[in-house]
Amino acid sequence: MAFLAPSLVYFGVFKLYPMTQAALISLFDYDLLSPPRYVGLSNYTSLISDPVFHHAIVSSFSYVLGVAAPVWVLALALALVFNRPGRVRSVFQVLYFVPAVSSIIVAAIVWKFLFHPQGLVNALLGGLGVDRINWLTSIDTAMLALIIAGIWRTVPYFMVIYLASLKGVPTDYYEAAALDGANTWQGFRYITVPLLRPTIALVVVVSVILTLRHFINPMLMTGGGPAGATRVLPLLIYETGFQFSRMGLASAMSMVFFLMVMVFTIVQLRLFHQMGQDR
Amino acid sequence: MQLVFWGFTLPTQVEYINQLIKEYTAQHPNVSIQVDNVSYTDLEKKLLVAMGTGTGPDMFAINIGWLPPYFEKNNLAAISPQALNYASLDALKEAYLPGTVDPFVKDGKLFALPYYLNTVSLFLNSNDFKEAGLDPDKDYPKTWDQVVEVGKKLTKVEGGKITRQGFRFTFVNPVWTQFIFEPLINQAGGATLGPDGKCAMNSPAGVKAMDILASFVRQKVMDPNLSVATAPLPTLDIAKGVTSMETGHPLTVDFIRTNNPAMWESKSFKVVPFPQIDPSKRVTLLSGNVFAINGAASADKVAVAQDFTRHLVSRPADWLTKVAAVAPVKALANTAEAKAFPYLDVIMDDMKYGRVTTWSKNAPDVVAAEHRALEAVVLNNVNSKQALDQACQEVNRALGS
Repeated sequence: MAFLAPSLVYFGVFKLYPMTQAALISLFDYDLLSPPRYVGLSNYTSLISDPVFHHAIVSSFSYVLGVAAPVWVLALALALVFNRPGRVRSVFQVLYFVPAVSSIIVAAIVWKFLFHPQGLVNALLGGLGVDRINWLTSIDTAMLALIIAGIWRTVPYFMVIYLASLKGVPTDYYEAAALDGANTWQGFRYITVPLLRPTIALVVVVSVILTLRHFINPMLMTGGGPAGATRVLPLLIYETGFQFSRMGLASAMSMVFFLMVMVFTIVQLRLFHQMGQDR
Repeated sequence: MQLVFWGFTLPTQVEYINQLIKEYTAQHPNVSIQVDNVSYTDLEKKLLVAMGTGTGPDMFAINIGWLPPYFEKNNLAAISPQALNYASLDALKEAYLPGTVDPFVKDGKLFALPYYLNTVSLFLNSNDFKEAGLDPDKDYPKTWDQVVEVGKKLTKVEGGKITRQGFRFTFVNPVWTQFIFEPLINQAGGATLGPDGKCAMNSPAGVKAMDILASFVRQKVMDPNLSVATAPLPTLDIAKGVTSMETGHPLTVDFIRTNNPAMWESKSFKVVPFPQIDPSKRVTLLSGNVFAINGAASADKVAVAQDFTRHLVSRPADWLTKVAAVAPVKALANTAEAKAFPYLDVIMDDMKYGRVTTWSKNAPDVVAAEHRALEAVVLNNVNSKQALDQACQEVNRALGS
């Protein structure tokens, strides 16, 4: 118990207590400057018919789908490449991990410049004959720009998780399969994937949770714009609480967000569990 | 006694206030002043949380538009005119430009003191005018239609892309959207909020204002994508020579001085009155910054904060020369510094016709909705009425909650 105490204290003070407070505040009308006024569930009922909240949920899930799904594939592909021995690969492995450890704020600002109408991305595309794209100022492309920056940031982290897991797969299995005439694809399909299933489950669940919480890139690169096109749920919660001073409503949004993530996680874990049992 | 003061990170202001603090604490050895400067837009959020949790500063500098929640909910301490060396509130009002103190008076008491006010005027690049065969002294636009006409002559296009904008307005953040949209809706005879307190920006006046702003893009005198994504400072394009006309506030004069010494030295820029829908019914913007004192501060701290406020505003000419900030006091116009400041007469004349930006505790909602509507119209070609209907829907929901 004494061993767990530091973690429990940290969790209690910095997670559980604020979450309990948020749940409590969600039942009040509270603008920070006046005493809170109890309003029951009205903050929650107002969210049911709030188009801005609905739009933010759609934006969040578009972003999650856009970032997480490619990450699952790209991170595994890179991990497979870097799992082979070689000094050059080790250098690239380190380089590919740089995005995960670089300052997220600096990276967001750099991406903002890269996506400027006269920035490097358009310059490179211009060389291929592609006309200028207003990445961050067009409703059609702003989310795509955030997704690209999100993928760049997220892939290396999960690549390392896959890589650690791949190191644990005994090479004997592949050698035995090769003796039986299995090719590389079959080795991947029938050895690597089944043995990585717990890691894949972890990556899918954690990547969805992490990308749902992405806040810095939308905040710094687009400010939720243009015209609210990239206003994901964490950003809307922040605006509602700290810009529009409606802490009760922002807390209600947070609680709904928390429940959504929890349900989504439980469903995913159940699915993976089911898939494991079916085999 | 230690006084905590929060301001924002305008470098020239930070430097000048630090100088004033040094002077004040030298004169009052028993007082120390701790300063915390944060970025202009972050100050709004940081202050709100701090005031709400009882950890706010003893006094602060704040944008006028962010004051109403504190003002309406009695979170501010009254500032005694006598502490500012005025015999009465009327005497103080008399020393200030007409109407510039009234918004901060409630029940006969002053709760904030404007130390510099902003309006928006039109900045021209005289060399571009001459290059296009125009006389900057005579051919500058007086109406928005003329901005388009003149802008077309000034715009340069290469390979189908605008390389020099004939005109641009900045909308890098909601505050700057407010600085252009609100005077225009006022010129068109409307307002962001109606007499019933509900959103009125989707009125015909609002649609007209938004259509005017869209016309610069649709008539191809402005490329709104160029600066909006990465502008480090607003109204910098005129100083960088990438636009021939731009709406800007008094600080723009200083941006030109610091960012384009050649333009400054050669005096190849000009400031003219803010264009109008109807020049016979002039309306411009009135915004700016005030000093206010935390209502939760102890009585002795309030007394010191009032005295420090007196010291802060005691030299309007210095605010002009060191910060390029126009203090709204009548005495400023007669100083040698004011006479030497380029086009201050034009700026102060525009100020005379200024209307204060949306004055409501829900102003942040209104301004954010204005900004989203403008982005939809100007960047993504959405119909003005449709964008403003959407904005009003959002604002009215916020007002009702």
